[in-house]
Amino acid sequence: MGLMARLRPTEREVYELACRETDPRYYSRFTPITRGFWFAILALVLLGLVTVVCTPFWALRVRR
Amino acid sequence: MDGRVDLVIVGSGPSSAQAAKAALGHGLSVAMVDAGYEDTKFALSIPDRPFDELRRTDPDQRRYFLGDGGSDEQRGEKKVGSQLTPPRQFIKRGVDRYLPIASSTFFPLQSLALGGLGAGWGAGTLTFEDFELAEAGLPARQLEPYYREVADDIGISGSRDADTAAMVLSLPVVQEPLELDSNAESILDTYRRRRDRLHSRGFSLGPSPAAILSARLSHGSSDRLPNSYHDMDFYSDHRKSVYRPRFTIEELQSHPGFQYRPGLLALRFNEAQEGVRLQCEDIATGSPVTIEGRALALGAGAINSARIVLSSVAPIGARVPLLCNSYNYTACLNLGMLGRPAADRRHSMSQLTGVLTEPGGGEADRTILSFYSYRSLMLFRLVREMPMPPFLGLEFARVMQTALTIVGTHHVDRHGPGKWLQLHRTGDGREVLAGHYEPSAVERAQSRRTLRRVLRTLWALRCLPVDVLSPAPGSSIHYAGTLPIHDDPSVPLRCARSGKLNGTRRVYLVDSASWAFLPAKGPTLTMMANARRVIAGVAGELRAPPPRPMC
Repeated sequence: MGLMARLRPTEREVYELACRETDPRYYSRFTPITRGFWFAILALVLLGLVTVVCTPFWALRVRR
Repeated sequence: MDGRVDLVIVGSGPSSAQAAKAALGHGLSVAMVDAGYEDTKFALSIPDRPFDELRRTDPDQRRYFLGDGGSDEQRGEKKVGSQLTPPRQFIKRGVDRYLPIASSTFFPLQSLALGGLGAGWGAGTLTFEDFELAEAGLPARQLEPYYREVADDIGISGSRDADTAAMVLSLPVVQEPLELDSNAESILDTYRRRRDRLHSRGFSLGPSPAAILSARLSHGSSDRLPNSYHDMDFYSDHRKSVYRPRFTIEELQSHPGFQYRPGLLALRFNEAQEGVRLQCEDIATGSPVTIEGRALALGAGAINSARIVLSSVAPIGARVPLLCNSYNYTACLNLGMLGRPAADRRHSMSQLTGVLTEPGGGEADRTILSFYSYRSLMLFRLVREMPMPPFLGLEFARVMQTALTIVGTHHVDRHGPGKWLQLHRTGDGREVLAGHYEPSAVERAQSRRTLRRVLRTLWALRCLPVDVLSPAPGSSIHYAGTLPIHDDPSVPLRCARSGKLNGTRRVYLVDSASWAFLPAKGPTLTMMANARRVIAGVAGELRAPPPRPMC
């Protein structure tokens, strides 16, 4: 399994996400976040930093 | 052959539907042979309401957004056609069993559905230019009135003053353009500000001409309504706004000269003195069925028409060539929309069409870019591709959602030694089509160069490319050139400009199998126009008195 494939969510995780996305009770968790250009840039940068920190730990889990 | 019809048509896709309508217009009787799978699960269960409202309120939405028990895509199976939404999955039903293709290099999507691949058509209606028609072997002047007939019949909305009009839409009869969504408006604004610079690089951009109604269209028993901008066009055919061949076939069913014969798989034909016999298999019972007509029109799609011809007239192992546009799609962030809300009112199909050519234009190859905004395809599909934990991927997707633009790039294709189909017989007598698709080194290098130009162009439009995906050959769903036009009528497995298959008396090709070249533009509109042209010739031939016996 290549590195990128290993870092991607598992089928199970994607399926659970899809189920939540099609449940009206979770509607607000899937709506666009739109608070201006600079907010979006800042959000992407912060998310990127958090991702860089979190992903190695997350990827070390036993994957299917 | 008592009870036979004038014309037997194989398939119910865009070409066949137009061929049938044209034939009836010429006074011929028609039998349409089709497997005819339909969506029986979803059509009535999807409410005619906007995507966002359904997402917010409908407790049963999982059924049509995800499918019962999960679609292939849900299960992570990246098979051909797995990108189809659950209500469109019927398009590929039965294909693995009845139309198998053995290949490690070519992965086409075929269909046995009512309406064929047209049931999932993106509705792009680009006309071919004269030099493209000429290279394909099609007569430009002859085709023009048939383009117009098709436009009248299916309804095409588009903008006449767009920069791309000359290159993509030469039809005089169109409806008013569709409304653009916020993302497309933003990209078009950027384009207009930088038009001169982009023109000098050989790039033009305009609203996509499409077989989507912006105004009501009624003729005969057909009544179709303008698009509701519900962003549900990948899921339902409410209001029949986006053209589907099924609508034409439903309209024709009330015509006394038309028989629709679903549940039949066309296998092969043979010609007798007085006409053509089409041998079929009844899909439900497996029993053989023969349909007879004075002439046969093959509109089963370039691949399946080749399969039928190879099975009928070719020695085992004969090869036919193959054309298929190569395709990439680029995920971009339109910086002009980043952090801005987008209006929910939108249609789901391509919003903008870009034409990239060599600076100076002329008769250079065009590369076609189709711009889609990503909304109703759901976020989980995006998160799947992100190399990070899903909870973080979801937040990324939510920030990028309104700015996310998917740009599909189609490249031209020409015949080559590495692109072919071949029919094999297995030990148990089954026929399996083998396929191979391998562009030459020169073509691959050209595609890479073009893709680099596409990425530079997207930068100039303030669309930041974040990922480029190159799906396997066949995924463009544009196939052609398997029985191409050839001037020498003695060459087997080729056809004449009239569409008549060489070596036959009255077997015609009405789909793209007859083309000798595949431009990057979506082929569907030209296939439909060419089907009408071929049928006009067939009607003339069937009306002509039989030759006098020589004595």
